Amino acid sequence: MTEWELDRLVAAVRVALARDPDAPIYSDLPPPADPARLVGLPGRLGEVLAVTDGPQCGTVICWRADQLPGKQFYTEEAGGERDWLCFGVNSDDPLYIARASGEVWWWDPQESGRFDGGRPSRLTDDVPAFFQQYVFGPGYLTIARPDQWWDALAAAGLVAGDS
Amino acid sequence: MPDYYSLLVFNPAAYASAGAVLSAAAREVGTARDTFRTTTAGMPTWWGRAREGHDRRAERVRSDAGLAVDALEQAGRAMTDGASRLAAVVTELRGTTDQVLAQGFVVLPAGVVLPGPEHMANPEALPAFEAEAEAYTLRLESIVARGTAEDEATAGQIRAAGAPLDYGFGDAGTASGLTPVTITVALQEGMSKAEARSKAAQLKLLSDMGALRKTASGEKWRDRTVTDSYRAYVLGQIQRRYAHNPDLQAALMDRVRRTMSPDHRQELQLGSPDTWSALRFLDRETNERFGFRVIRPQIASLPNGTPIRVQVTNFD
Repeated sequence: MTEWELDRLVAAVRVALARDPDAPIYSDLPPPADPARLVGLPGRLGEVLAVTDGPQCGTVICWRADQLPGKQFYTEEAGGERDWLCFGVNSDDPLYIARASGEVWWWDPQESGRFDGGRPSRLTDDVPAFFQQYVFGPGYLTIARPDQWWDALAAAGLVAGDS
Repeated sequence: MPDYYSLLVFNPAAYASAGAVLSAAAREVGTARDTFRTTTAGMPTWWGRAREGHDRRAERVRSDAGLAVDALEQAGRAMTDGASRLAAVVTELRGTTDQVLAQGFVVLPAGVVLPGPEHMANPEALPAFEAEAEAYTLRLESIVARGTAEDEATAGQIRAAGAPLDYGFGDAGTASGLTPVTITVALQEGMSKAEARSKAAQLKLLSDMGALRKTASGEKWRDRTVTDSYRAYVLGQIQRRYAHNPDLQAALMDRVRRTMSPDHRQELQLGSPDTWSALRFLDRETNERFGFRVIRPQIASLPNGTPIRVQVTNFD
């Protein structure tokens, strides 16, 4: 997915969100990040933050570029900052980028024992794919239950309304 | 366990009324017991094992009724006295809240005090206001902790009152027959000192009440919709209350989204209920470090149901 494609998805959802006065309760699509802060980020994270810096999309909350260094305490439970970058949370469980591959990993509540010394699970090849499939697409129901964000995706025509 | 908001809107008079109802019920059951007569009383010629059995059952009914009278009386007194003590705590909480608001601070529904619009307009003095807000947060938490203690104490007295009737109440850990284990809670690098101290005090209080036990691992840890909907509720409150001040509204909402996370005060791994009333917002890093670095390693190998005691050290 190119930056332009993500930009288009964000624009479509913004139109749908503008019609809902409660949208700020479950969503936040801030303006782009300062490009200077995006240099060297793994997993093509910079391409997402270049469109919206630290979005909240339903249960997914991402850090702003300037917050990333202060949120890496989340990587300790996965193996450490050398191998992982935490770029946000899903329902307050951390979302990671594997620095070596750029892949997105998460704690799948159906599989992993986050409290039991388990391991996170691989989700997508990179961050733009995560956003396209799981945040702005039908994969959202894999990581969350139907909610107002899902309704907004449906209103924007990005997913079929029936879950 | 009451949280800030539920304690703020709590009505101790209703609690006291319930106590009065229990006391009245005790009197009624006592009267029924005292006037109770078996059918054998008017049958002097009926004798034998059937009559003896009938009389024994009647005596048991009278005895049970006596226990019920005692239990109702004690529970009624406990509720009335508890209401009186809780009323004092609620009054103090409301007074402190009024004082905080009068000074221009903002109080979130979770009891977190933040600098208000006038403070935000003075960037140079903001750090001092933030420190003051933090101190107020701790003070409110301290009052809520006392309210929690009073509530738990009253609940304990009511449980004790019902014990002779074999209602089946009791400490799960004690019932398990497992020996209590003491864990140490200490400040760690990266934690917010004030929030960590508050969290430690909460755990110590719950420990002293005997409320902590290791929860079964491998179970579904939490219903994520509970914390998700709690955050949405708090964001909604901020959106409505501070619509007149978009900058403050945005700052508060950003804090609730990215700086803080919902914390189970009792910790799910120590038997917390997974409900809104068990939650409050806490600094994310403090929350995570308490869960994964401080508590989990100390209880991971313990049998499920082990009673946990908390020792607090190194918070200076």
